[in-house]
Amino acid sequence: MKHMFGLPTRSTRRRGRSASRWFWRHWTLLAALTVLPALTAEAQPKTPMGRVTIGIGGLAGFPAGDDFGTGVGVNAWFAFRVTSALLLELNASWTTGTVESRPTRFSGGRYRFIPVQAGLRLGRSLGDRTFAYAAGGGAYTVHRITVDESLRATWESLGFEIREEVDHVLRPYVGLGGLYRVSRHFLLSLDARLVIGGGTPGRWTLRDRTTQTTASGSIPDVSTGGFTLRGGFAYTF
Amino acid sequence: MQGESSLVRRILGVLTGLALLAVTVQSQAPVPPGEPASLPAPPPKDVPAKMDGVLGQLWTVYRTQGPTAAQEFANRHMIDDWKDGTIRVVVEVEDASPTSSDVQSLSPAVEPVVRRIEALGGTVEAAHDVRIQGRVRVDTLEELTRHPSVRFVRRPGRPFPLVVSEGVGRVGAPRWWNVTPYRGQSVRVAVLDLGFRGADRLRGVELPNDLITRAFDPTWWNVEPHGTACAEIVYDMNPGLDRMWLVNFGTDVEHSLAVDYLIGQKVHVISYSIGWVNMGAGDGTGPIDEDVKRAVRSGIAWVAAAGNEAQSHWEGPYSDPNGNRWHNFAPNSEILEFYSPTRVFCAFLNWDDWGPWNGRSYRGSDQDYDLYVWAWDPWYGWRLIAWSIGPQTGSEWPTEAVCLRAWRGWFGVSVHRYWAYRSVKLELFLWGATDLEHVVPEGSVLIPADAREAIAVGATDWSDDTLHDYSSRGPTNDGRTKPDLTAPSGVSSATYGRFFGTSAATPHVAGAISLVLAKTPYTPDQIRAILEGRALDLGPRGPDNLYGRGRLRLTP
Repeated sequence: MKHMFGLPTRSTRRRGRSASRWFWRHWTLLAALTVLPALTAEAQPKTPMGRVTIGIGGLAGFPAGDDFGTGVGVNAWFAFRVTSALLLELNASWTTGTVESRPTRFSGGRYRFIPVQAGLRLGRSLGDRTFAYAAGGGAYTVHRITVDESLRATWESLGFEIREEVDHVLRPYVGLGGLYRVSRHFLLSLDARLVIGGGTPGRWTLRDRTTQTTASGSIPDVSTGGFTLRGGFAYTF
Repeated sequence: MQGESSLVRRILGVLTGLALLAVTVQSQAPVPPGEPASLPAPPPKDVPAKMDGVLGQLWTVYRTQGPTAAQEFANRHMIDDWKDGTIRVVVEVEDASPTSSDVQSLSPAVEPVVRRIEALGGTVEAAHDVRIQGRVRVDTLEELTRHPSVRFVRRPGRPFPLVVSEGVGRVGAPRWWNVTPYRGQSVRVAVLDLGFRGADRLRGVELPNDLITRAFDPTWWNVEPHGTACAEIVYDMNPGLDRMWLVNFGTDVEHSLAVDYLIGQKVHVISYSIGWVNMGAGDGTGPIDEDVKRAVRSGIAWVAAAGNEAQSHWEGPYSDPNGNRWHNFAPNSEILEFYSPTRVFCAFLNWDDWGPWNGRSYRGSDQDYDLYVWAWDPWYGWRLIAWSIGPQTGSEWPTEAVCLRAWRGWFGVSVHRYWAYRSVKLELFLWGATDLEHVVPEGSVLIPADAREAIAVGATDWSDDTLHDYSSRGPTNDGRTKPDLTAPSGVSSATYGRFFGTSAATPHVAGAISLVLAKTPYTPDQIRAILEGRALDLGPRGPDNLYGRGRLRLTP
């Protein structure tokens, strides 16, 4: 027996959750194969992008919550055009800023966030130079916190090591952006992204170097999400 | 004729002067007298059971010679709480059930004994678990011991107290003062001591402005300045303290009540420069050590003075080579000689027959040894002047003690085996004594520094880290290394001028713990580990019974 959409029916013997999982997996694939060609089939101006686009630029980060202050950083990205409307993207950025000092939270210093984002850009060309898109996917973010230097040095002199950390997490992101072709291969890029990242576990540790006696505690619900505004150049071919 | 008479008078005067000088020199110079090869048999033992030795004698004197003689006896034996034929005692009540709660309540067995004390014309002052502190008429003591719930009647356990301090800089405390607290907390430090005379005068200068005081023995509060001197050092170590608890006590029952109070006040650190003898087996058990355990279980760091008894301590197995029942401290030495420079001294004897400790009482001893005190008389030799001969019949503690108001001169103590079927290890502490004939510094750590939970502190000189020769040493009677740390002594004090002893060393450690507690998130247990790990190792490599882990050092 064949499935109604003509796909193999290995699941005729499946029941319950397995069958359901199989159905959704294949339905998603089918939807993609059905809808995306439809989008791309629409008559569009010639896309300003080549098959492959590589971009670099700067960014301003506006973390959500009260734990971290505004930061700045750099960003690099890669996009592969599947169709004229759909791109696969890979982003990596590095943002640094100040950690807010609060009695029951972090003790101050600097943060460095390194999110690696993988996802899709779905958009359309507006004229032969401009491409506007919506993006979405998953962001795996490495968080590093450096305790305030003078505080660290003081405790170091007393024989202690201070550490404050936030877990690395995988969070969804969404964004909007645009590309503008300034020459055959070069583009200007501008994009805004929101990483949805509340409730990340954090912790502090104080360790005595002599005896290795350690005291530690948790800093719950660290808001690692936030808004970033990015701009830069891209090369397409 | 007149000239001859004058000459004779002069010669007689010179001879009299020489004789007086000789007597004075003989009685005052620290040259130990000789002693007989064998002591004579002691006088008959005529004191009742279930009563400590001196209390039994007091009752006997009262009964046979009347109240005036009894009062004189009490005065000579430093029983200072004699009042109109009554005396302060502690009654240990029989209750075999184990304790459960941290802050102890009264045992149900106490109530009938309280009624008995009151029926005999006495008054109850305080009670804690299975101990009742009260004032009873001396002539009713023996009748009181006959109550079936009374295990033992004794004099209250009396502790003995053992001035910016130079030790503060020595241990590196100032480097901590300006450190921003890393998840610190508001720290509560208590000094538990005998008295705090002059504390008010030092408020806001040598002590924090906010002093929370509680007197469990109001009599001694304004008499004894020892606690004030200790509190000064705690504050020297941690000037960031905005308040301090000053709590006093005078007896073991008041001690337990004071500890309950401090647990209720949620203090973090107790600085305890007080030492006890004959209040436990020296192995971490007994009512005072139990108070320490209770406090530490509640999260309190208990810092205790190791004691200043290394040169006034003797211990060893009972030995009687000539079979006359008198213990030999050395071959041909049945009297342990010492010099009393202050006219007041105490001799404490105990032996290792306490029986198991069940958390509230010992089983008791049935090995009966007695303590005798001799005075050296240049004309008559050794004279027996006092004794403690309490019977050990199975419920009493294996202790005897004599405190005397005497004179400056040479004295000695002897131990007599009255009735025993096994050999025991004897231990003697002599307070107010110098030039002890035979000294055993090992095992001289006091109670409650012997408790595993207490941080026992020995004394080193603040200027060069040498161990003070009087600083008590381990091991404990169950073989554990003590003290745990040493700290500076011989430091400046507004109270004493110059403050020596493990009493001065202890608040350095207590202050250090409060400082680390205030600046870091560590628990008292962790801070103990950190301080022990950072201590400057002195003496033999590693932990030892002289310096413990070494001298307190706050910075690596």
